[in-house]
Amino acid sequence: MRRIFLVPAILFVASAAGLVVALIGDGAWNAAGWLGVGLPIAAIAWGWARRS
Amino acid sequence: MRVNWAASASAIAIVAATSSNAHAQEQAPAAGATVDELLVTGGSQVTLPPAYAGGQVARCARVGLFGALDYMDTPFRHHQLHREADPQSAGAQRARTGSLDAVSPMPWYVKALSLSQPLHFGGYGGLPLKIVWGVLDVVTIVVAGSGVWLWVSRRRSQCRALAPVPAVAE
Repeated sequence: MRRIFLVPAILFVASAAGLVVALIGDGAWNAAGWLGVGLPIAAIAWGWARRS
Repeated sequence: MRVNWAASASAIAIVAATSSNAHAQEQAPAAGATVDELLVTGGSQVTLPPAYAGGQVARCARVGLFGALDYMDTPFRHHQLHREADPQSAGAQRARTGSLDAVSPMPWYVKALSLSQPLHFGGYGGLPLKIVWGVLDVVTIVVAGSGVWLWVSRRRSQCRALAPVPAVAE
């Protein structure tokens, strides 16, 4: 159970934190927001590349 | 003394500078401080409503998220009218004396609403975040579309399996 949901939970926390951080802060916080929200996309790209 | 007042999503701040003590004593009744100067900074859309007699300009309206609307125009007028109905409230005090003697903070739901607006439109965080938003939109479309595709193709194969072999007419 924990093994299955660990990575989705990390992605959820990272993207939610990225959204809020980019909303509240500026400058470096924006960059942190890009990384956080971009993490799910990176995971999708990684999974896609591994599958094909 | 400077009072910072009613900052909103559009970063509008009203700074009220109260008068000196001598001036306040000769003019202000028991209500409190008299406003000498009211400095409003904001976009070109924001203009204060015209002044009432006595120099009162704010009229309990909120200059902020919805521009300079009278309190009768705002969606939150019930909150304001409730305050006006109470003769001891700050709004009624202001209407009588024409002075700014109280500052009410933005209610929490207005703050939450002002935070949800940029989240809704996604117009923050610079171009990279917008690109990330766009990619996530495309991913959502692909996930939804492929799900419908799977469902339709499974239904088709099931129908084919269940359909009786057409009888040959004799």
